[in-house]
Amino acid sequence: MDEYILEVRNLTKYFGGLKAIDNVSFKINRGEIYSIIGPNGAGKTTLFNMITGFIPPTEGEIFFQGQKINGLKPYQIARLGIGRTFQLTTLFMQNTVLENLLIGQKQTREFPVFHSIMSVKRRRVSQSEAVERAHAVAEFIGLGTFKNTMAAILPHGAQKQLSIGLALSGDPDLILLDEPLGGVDMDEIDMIIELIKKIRDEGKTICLIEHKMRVVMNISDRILALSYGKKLVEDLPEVVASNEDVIASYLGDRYAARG
Amino acid sequence: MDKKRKALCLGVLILIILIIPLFIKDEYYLHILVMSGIWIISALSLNLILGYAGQLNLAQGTFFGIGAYATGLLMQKMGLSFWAALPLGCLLTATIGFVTGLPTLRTRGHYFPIATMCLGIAIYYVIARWDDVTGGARGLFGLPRPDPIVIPFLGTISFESTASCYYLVSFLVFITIVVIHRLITSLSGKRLIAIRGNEDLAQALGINTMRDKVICFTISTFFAGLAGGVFASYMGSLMAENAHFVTSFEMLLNVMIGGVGTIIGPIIGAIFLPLLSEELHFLGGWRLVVYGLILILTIRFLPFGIVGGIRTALAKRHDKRGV
Repeated sequence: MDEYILEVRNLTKYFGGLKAIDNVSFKINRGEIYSIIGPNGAGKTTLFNMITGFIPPTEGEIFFQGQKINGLKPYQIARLGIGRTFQLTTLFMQNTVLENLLIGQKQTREFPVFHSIMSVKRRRVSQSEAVERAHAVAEFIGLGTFKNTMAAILPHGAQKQLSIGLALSGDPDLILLDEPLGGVDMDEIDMIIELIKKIRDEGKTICLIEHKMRVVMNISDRILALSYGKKLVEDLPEVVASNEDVIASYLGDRYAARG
Repeated sequence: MDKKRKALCLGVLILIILIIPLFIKDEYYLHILVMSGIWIISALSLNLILGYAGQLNLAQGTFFGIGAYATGLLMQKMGLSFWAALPLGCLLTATIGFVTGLPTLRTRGHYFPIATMCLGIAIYYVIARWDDVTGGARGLFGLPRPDPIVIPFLGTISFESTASCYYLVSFLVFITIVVIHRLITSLSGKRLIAIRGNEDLAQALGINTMRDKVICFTISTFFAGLAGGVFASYMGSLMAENAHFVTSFEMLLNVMIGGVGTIIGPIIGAIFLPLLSEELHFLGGWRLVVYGLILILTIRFLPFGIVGGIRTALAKRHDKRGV
């Protein structure tokens, strides 16, 4: 097996005349927490959208477990084993926590319509397997007590947990988390950080977009810094933190010169 | 216990449906019940694609018309028996549904209703102007009732009486409910609910949303065709208006007033609305004004229909008791 789970090669994306991603290459190692940082508009979410097939790259290639995935549809990429969350918390708001997690199961996404109508046994077996897995995921993400609560009325932090649970529910190898701590209050932050670590300990690889620098520096194995679609630096957290370009792009040139 | 109670309720309901013709001697009311059955099938078919997959198909009345004309023409011009013409008519409707669903279901948001409405109007004009085949504006006449079924040693079942058609339609309603109920309570049904909830998220979870939408649309048009085919044989004549998009809106009203996204809602709507419309005949010219007003008020105060309203009321009572 390859050492890297994901490889992005010379990726470029134009939106009209705007170069959102400019010739970016990087590799994510199996089992690490890899963070992507950069100021607003740096192209982080665009990168996620290209990896998961929601928008096509203008140029460049993406490989997952050695297989080229750009050109595949989002659902095909998800089935290969990439789960993701969205920047704006995206859930099935009118459904309960358990129903949300049930929808994400492998059994659910592939169960044939024909068997749904005609079969008795297969239907029951797949359904009970999926329900069992959904319960397990609910416990894993710490929403065991909220199983029958509608997603829309969960507190914001719990919604974030559920969105991570959805990304996890199809048992992917790589999980892309788009600002899992965005808008979450202090008490809930620790809970979500613990959850992310727990997922890593399960042997999954995590790619993270996050703005809370202290957290990123703390939990990441490696960090990629982007600015205006360009790769500034890719290295260990302490190296990235002391990089002048990174400081300049986050705090402005004045601070970099002074520091 | 709950399961037993449910089974008991279902048994009693089926028994009532079976013995109704013994008590209703007035042909007219029996006729209304047969028509309700046909509207129930079509409302349930629309509810499958609208209430579960979340796609507002405004061509459902046209698919009803396609099923009706296909079944009628297969009987009249090809000389097929009703029992062969009906399934073929449904399959033809579903095939047209599949072929037209492929391009229209690629659109999202408001574009899908617009696309299907255009589709419905275009097909309506084909039916209304294709004189040689559909009879054009004159319509189709003299369509036969279902052929009698001969059961060895027991005799024959004929479908000349309204009561016999009532049983036939009830049976088809039953089949429709079973198939759709099984579909929406399965894991495949969860996928439809996911598409209704958020199509991007559904894709990110590995659901082939386009494929599921097309399958759902095809099944939905199959049942619209079934309702149309039975309608053709029962009424004995067809007008191009049966395929008009006004028919689509009538179905939509049945679903919305009854309660979209539930099985019982469209059934209630399909029984209640035609009855209401009939009972208002004494108002003469004011009938449509009052009818329209009732519909507007219902949508305004019961956005999730009668079933939604009952549910909210029950939940409120439950909450009060809890406190």
